[in-house]
Amino acid sequence: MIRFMLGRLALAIPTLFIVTLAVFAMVRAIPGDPASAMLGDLATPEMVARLKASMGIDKPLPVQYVIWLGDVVSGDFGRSIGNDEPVGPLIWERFKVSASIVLLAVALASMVAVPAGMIAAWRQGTATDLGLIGVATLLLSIPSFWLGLMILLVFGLGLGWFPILGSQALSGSWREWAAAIAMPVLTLFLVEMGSIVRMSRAATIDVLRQEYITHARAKGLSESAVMWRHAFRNAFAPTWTLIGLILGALLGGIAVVETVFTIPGLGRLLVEGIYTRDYPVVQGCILMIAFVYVVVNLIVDMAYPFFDPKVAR
Amino acid sequence: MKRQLTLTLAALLAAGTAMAQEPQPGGVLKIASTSDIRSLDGTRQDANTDAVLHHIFDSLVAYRDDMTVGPLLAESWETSEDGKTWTFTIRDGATYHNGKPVKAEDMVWLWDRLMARGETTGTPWLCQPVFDGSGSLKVNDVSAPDDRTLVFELEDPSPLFLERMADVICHIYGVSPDNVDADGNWIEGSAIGTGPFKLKEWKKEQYVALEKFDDYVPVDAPRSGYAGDRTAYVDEVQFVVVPDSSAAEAAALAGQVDVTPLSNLDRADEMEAEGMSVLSAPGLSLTAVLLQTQDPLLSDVRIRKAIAHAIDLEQLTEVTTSGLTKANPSGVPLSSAYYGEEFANWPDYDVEKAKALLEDAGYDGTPITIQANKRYNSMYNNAVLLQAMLAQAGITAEIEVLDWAAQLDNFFSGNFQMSSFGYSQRTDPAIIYGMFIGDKDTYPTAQWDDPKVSELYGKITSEADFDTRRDLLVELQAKMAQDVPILPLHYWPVVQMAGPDVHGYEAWSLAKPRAWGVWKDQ
Repeated sequence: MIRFMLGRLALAIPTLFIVTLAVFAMVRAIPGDPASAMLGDLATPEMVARLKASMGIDKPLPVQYVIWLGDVVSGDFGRSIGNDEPVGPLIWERFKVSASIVLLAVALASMVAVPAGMIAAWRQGTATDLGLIGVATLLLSIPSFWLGLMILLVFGLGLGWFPILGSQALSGSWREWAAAIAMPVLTLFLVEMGSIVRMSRAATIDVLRQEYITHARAKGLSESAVMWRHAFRNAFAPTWTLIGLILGALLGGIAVVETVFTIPGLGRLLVEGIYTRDYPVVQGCILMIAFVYVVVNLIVDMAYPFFDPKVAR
Repeated sequence: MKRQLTLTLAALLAAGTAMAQEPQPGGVLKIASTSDIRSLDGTRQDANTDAVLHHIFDSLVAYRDDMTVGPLLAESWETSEDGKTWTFTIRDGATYHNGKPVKAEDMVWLWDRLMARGETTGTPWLCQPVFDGSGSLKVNDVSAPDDRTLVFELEDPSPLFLERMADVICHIYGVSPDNVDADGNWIEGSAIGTGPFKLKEWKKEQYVALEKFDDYVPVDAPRSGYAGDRTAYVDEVQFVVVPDSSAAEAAALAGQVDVTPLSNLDRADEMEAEGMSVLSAPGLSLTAVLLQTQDPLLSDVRIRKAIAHAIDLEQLTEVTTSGLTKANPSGVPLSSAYYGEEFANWPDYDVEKAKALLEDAGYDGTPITIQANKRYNSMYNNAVLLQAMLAQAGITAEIEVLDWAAQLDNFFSGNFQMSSFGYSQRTDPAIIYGMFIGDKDTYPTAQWDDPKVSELYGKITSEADFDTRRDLLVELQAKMAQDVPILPLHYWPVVQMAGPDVHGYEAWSLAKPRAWGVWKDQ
């Protein structure tokens, strides 16, 4: 197991190196530059040129890349062009905010959606199945920004249960913090539940068709014993993979939800960085997202043996 | 226009009601801001940063509501007979937030610091080219003969000098030298100014909280624009970061912010029905469509004129601004004292004339590309309407949607055929025309490259007499209507809304929120 983990970690190093190259090249390839974006239409070409020189973005691209990579390896992600803050701590602060919302939302969604998917599979073809799959498909089809705005209007504006400006409450007591993240968590919970229900249902249907399930039923085991003891562990493995992918994707950016609920998270930092061509911030954010993907996948892989003994062997 | 009049009347009535009421001190005023500020020392600026810093620091002089220049940190000023020496008197009793008196030599220190910043930090002051002779203005020397007298010596007389000193971005302001350490570096988190509010807390990406400066001694002049009496009534003002306009509107309706810009202009009625005060003022941001006159097709003045004839400016403006302003194809904003009907001089909307000009020019249907972006929806909307209007005249136009930074980059390099654009706010007509007059080889951002026009523009910038200057501006506009080097459409209106318990708040042409003179029901 330890060799497996070390092997996966070693594989992550070339992956992250390729990511540094790709992100550096892509960020530089898009038109526009931070000097022009910062100065706006007030600037003269001389001012833009001077600011580019002061930012170090007038140097040849390979030189810029080597300097940045050297700094990153030594733990220095540079300073934000927009507000001169060190990028490393800036990303970490924002990541913590995003992670708290995402982890809570995905955990809640999994706890509700996995059993719901199994029940739908168990009651396949009945009204319960149709109802559950209908709700799941509906949730899957709703764009997160629209759902977020509706939740904001109903629970924030209409009922006044939660603060509309999440950012303000984040720095308060734990109660205020919980109130601040309630609406974004609810949005993500609903949006992600759809796909998890569908996956859980499909995987369970597949397992329920297996001969060992028929055998278990033939032995006279109760339906609940068949479902939870025999079907659940096998059916959960593919759903667990999906949850890992969802976690990786969401931890990397829930910019839309963060914008709607005024949450200063990693996604909003990345989007603002792209708008203003804040190269160090964009590069740092994408590197962080890649790292999170690697770590989440590693955790998912390590957890597999608990659900599928064949993997452990 | 009806809607604009209604709103103006409503604003006047609200102002009248507010004036009739006695200000109630206390409370917290929350103003929605689309992004966090970038710095406290002004090294990194944007519109939101400037808005906050103007509450902490008083500029020497400032714009009034009517875009004339009024007193602020300087209570008066005079100019020498040759127009080269400007002498400002610092207002009596002005102190910094740390209790120390403001001295004219502090302004000299700030001036030297700003002008030398390019050498000392590598990041030049954004406004250095305004004052170093790169343009028409050169400041040779700044001195402080005594504690309350500040003297600027210019290379040549400039009627624009005072306007430049009042600029919301490029100005000299009351900054205490105690903000920097012994090495001259700005102390982290420091913001000791002279304004009506002092820094309380900056919670990054959340809010900037300012508290009332109790020892603020206002200048003896009525509150107007950024100038005059800036006495604060609220105990605290918070600039709350709300990037999404819909969330800002919802927060205002829920009473979680008191003042917010209204970006969806067509929602003004709905907001008023909900009890919000919708406040509008004529804007200063020129919305225009740039024409690349070096493009093989658009270098033909007949094609450019055909485009101008094909556009129904009134209809386009009515649609994109929900009738909150009127078309204005000139470099003179509606709120300017120079404005008059002469500045409506522009090729009339006449599709048949457009078709005749196109035929004369031998236009063969070659598509023209209009660059636009969706960060600023109004620019995209203008491009869509333009495309439809051009199609009526037989001109094929394609819209290329870029992100704003890419479009701005193309603006700097002149890399476009047509570009649906919006300039930043400028106050003086000469400065506005100056944005697009110049040599394209040296400044690709220039749209109108004609030596005779540059000569006429030079006369305007050096002319001090109002009437003569206005005549020259009229002449310039007439020439622009002939050459059509750019398609000015209108000036984007300023629309903001305030909660029902907010009094004394007013929108003004420079769009920046002002928390002084405002109070809330207690």
